[in-house]
Amino acid sequence: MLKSQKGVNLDTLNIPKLPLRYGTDSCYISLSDSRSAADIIALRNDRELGKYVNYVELTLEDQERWLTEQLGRADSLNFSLIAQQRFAGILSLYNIEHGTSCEFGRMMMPNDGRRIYALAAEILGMSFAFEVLGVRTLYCVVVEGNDTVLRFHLRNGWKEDARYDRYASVNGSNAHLVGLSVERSEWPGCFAKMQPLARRLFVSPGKAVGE
Amino acid sequence: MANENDLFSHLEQILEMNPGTLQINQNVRELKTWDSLKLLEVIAFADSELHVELDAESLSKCGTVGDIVSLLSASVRSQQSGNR
Repeated sequence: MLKSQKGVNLDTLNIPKLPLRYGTDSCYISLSDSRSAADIIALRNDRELGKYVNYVELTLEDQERWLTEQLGRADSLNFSLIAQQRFAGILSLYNIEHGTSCEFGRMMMPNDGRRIYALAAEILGMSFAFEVLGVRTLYCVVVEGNDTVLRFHLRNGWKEDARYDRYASVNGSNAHLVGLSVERSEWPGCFAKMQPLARRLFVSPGKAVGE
Repeated sequence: MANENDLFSHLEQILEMNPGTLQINQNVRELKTWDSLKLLEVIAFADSELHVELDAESLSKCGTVGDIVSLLSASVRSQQSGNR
């Protein structure tokens, strides 16, 4: 895979993968490249935010290596959320089986006013999975005990689904990961539920929310 | 409507608390129902009911229920004095 010495910049076409943006001018997800590395590292290295994520002190080299490997995969899309021209978090769609299913996850939001864009991240991720990738089933896992995130997903229409339950090591402990899923047929109902609040996050620049 | 008792009552509803159970000095982060969606609902309430634009950054820094009521109240006063 070709890339410049300064890392991967999708806008310069230095790898055979072009920039991908999805959303409105005010709030969209953008395929992550080296330009968001510093923001992503700051997020990943925040110990408080990483309570339910395996904590590893990430370096720029680690992030660039991971990013390059991920951009070469056909079954993984890692996005940065951009809101009001500002980095506002990350989310990913992975284990993609085009037209069938994929996993939604790696969602992390900064611990400040930008947290309100969590709903935007959810709606953008779900919409991309169902409307663009055309999957029938979208699933995710939440570490047992992370009630805030669990409740967030359930309020947005996800349902607990034991098919996707699993166990994994999280910060040295064997954690139960609670499986959740949502079907394509349920997506319009989820969208309708999220829309009234989500619309406030997708307004045009000039009527800033969260600035 | 902008008196602090009314604002407090509306917060109780947004936070899905039974009337009379929310305490003014309660730490919002200790409330089971407090999350990014609730932050957004408070902003939406301020916008549609109080006609003020609430700063999400300031709201996210509020520690107690009383802080949120004060922020809402101050936003309304600021808007009203700006309209004179």
